[in-house]
Amino acid sequence: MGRTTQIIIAAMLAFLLTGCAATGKKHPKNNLPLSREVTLIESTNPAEVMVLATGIGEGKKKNLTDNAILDARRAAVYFILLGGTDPLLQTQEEKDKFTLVQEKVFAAKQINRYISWESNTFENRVKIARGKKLKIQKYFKINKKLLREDLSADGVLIQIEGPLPFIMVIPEVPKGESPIERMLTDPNLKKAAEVIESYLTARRYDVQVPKQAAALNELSDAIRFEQGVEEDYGYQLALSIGSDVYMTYTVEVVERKIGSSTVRKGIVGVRAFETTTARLLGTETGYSAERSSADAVVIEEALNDAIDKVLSRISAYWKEDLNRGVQYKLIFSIEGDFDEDEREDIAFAISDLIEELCSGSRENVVTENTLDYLVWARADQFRKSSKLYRALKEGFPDKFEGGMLKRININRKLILMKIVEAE
Amino acid sequence: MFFDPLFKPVINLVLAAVLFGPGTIGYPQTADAYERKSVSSIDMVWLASPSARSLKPKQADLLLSAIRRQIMGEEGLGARFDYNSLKKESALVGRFIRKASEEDDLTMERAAELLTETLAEPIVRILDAQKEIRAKARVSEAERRKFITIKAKELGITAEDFEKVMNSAYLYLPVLTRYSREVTKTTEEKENEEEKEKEKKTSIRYKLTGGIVWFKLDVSPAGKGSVRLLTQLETHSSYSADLKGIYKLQENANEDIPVPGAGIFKLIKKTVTAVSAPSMDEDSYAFLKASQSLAKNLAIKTAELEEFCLSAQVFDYAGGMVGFNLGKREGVFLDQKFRVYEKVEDEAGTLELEKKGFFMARGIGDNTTNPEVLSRGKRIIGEYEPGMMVKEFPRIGIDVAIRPGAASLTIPKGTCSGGFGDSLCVEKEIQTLFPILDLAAQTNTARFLGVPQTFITLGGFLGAIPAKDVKISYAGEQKDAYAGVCWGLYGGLIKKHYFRRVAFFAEARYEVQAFSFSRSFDDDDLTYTNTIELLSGAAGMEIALRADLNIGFTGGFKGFGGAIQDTWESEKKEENEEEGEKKAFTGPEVDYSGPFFGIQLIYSPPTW
Repeated sequence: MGRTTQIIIAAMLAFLLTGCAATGKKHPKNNLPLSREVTLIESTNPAEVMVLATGIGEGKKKNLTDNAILDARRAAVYFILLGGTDPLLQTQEEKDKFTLVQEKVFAAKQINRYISWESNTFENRVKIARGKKLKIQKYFKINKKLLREDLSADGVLIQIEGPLPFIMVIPEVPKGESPIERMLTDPNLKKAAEVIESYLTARRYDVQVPKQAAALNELSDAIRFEQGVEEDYGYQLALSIGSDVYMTYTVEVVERKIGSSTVRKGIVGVRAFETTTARLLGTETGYSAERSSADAVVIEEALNDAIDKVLSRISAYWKEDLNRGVQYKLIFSIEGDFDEDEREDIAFAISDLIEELCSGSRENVVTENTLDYLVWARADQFRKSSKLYRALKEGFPDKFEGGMLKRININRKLILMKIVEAE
Repeated sequence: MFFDPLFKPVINLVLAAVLFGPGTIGYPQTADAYERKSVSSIDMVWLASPSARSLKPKQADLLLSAIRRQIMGEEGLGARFDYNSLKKESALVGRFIRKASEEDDLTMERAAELLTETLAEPIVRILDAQKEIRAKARVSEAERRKFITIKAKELGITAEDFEKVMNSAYLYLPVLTRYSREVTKTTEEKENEEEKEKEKKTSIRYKLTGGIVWFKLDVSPAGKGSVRLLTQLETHSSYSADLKGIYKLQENANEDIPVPGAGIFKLIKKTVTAVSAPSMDEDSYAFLKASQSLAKNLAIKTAELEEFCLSAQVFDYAGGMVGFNLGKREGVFLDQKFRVYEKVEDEAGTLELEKKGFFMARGIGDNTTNPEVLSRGKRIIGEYEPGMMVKEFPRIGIDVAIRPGAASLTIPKGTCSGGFGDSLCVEKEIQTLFPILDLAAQTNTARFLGVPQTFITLGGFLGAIPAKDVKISYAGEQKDAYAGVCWGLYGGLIKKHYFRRVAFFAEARYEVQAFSFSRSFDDDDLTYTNTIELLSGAAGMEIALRADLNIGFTGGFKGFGGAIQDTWESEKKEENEEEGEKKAFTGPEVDYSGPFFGIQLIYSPPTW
């Protein structure tokens, strides 16, 4: 082999090796966490969530711990954003938008803003991968509120245009019982209502815990045709109040003895419903630790465990629903002296009118005397129920000459009308 | 190299121990933080062998007291335990003791059954009454943080904390497995053929082998307690009371003791503050010291048990100082050693603890009121990271120093007589650097003085002086002296200062040093001894090889300000004679002053 050939082969080998090294080079690191191992401990308060996060540190030996802690912080925030059953980023659009800002959000400096507390001790610290990597576990409190605000400012989180949903909170009681009366007599139910109320108001939701059933009677006659609803106080109350969503809850405090001490565990169930349809939006149970504390303390702890998750689902529902418009429940009661054909024409007229005025609708019940619709009206046109009523009232005679619409009851969610003969 | 041939094997041995010693141990499935345990003592010594059954009730009391002080007392492990006092339940304790005593062959399992029958319930009651206050200390940082914002007035104690308290009770039962009392006797010369040989007791030695049996109390969810055997620790000790051969030992003797030819002597009584008795005789004293050694060893062994070993986490580490979450509440003391471990998971998923080094406690945090107060430790070996595991390294606090080295001595040329018609002739000035082997015990006093790395040292050495130019003449015969023997005893103070694993130290000593030349002639042995009292100082350097082993060198100067006292004594001893005739004489002025140096190996033993 000649000297020139040897040089050429050596050069080729060197090139090959360099090339291999280049292709073997890792991609530049991004700021996303290596670990995705996070356990939700509790929604400590309306703004903060406590998690136990695992971090994996790699790199130079002297930086392993710092890198692992940073990774755990990132994993904790990642979990709030995208992990678990109720992440902050819920829609695909939000997730797609987030990819554009994720490097910024997970940057070391930025991530620390969202950590409102971090445990001093490690729950675990183990060297792995033959000592080249470090795995740690720590508790963190994440400021979810700040994270939400930042992402909203960046245009990642879809801003809920218009007001947040109006939520009614009521205890769940056995059929036939009045939740309002139960709440007045059961201090645990009252306490739970207060906790939920406090939680929701801190998140700027409009919330109401009904104290009386004044409007209920008026409404009950109108909606009694709906099967089963005559005993569903929650639904009736929500409709009467005109909430967008209503939440029901159950509270149980179980106790046992440890020696001479009584320890209590709070168990709560929280369910959220769409008011107009009584459709279940989300349900969660929450448990407190067993403590020798008063009932109120364990109830609050259990509720904190459950409420945040339910609220995430309400928020997701609300965002989706708002895209379709403002939702109203329309009930038409045909009270005039109309024959069978006329009544059919009225139904057709109402259907046509709704199609003209609303961006979407759903026919719930159409009977000889009653028409029940769920409609989504354009928010810019019909932000208020009275505006929709007015448009319906004005448009109806054009569709059916022999009749006219009259109001029975209007609240912000429900428009209860009667159709009578034209004067 | 002067020391090479002598110390190479030692150095090799040390390096081998350091390099090939066990680097990892099995990972125990416990959390890093030490959780307080509560302890009850059973006031009974279980005599587990025929020799042990010869223990007298008074001795049993001494042994019980010594063990209680070490396990429950502040000077021992007391701070890390809560004490479940069974004073009110003394009748039940008595019932257990009675039942246990009735058993011909009591096994540990049977003892556990008897404890379940008699003492489990009262302890459960004590735990129940105390659980709230004890559980408070167990509330985790995360749990406190969880509660602090919204329920600040709550303690955050969970049922889990209560259950831990209820299930953290232990009982211990002292056991004696071997007991021996040895009296060393000497015989007096016969006065005449008819008189019987008289015996004289000169010293008494107690040898004890025993331990403590640890039981664990389990409490069922229904609140029912049952006791099970946890482990048995065993160790041994011995102590000899030196009676100097002039006192007749008589147990509980209070009368004056006549010593022939020396007058009337009283029996020495040593006041021992450790027990309530205002004074005690030598026999009891020897037993007490043996008991105390046994108890100290048992405390160390107890501290090594996983259940009772103090453990924590490295909180922070900067500038060679470690912050860790143990303190006054757990009884951490100045200079206490702690090892640092890293948990390592191998490919099979097995966790092991890898030693990373050790540190010594410096600033003891007062965490009795605020659990978040940290203690500070000074790193000696290793580099640490927050989150690494810290475990105590229990030692008795007395280091053993072995120092092979050399010291200087000058004996001027001259001739003198010991007073027996003899002569000691130093033909040529002896100016020598002679080899010595020094052995010392260094007791760490930091805990008591509040100054880190201060030691009281007590030691002695033995050396050989060349004697080729020393002639001894006696009875018309001149012979070369045997090689001179040099010995010394000293006490002093040492102060060390560590820079990472290197320690520099200074030592001040008061020494009594002596050397002697001797030679045997036909019927007589002649010995010439020079004794001197002097002050010396030394300094040196050590390197910590492990938490319990240092190696280094020392150098110093003897005889600051000259000799305090310098005496010569000659002795002529006939063959078969125990003690010969001694005379003081004026000999050559020996100069002990001069440098000494050596290497040293310091070992911290786990038990006596």
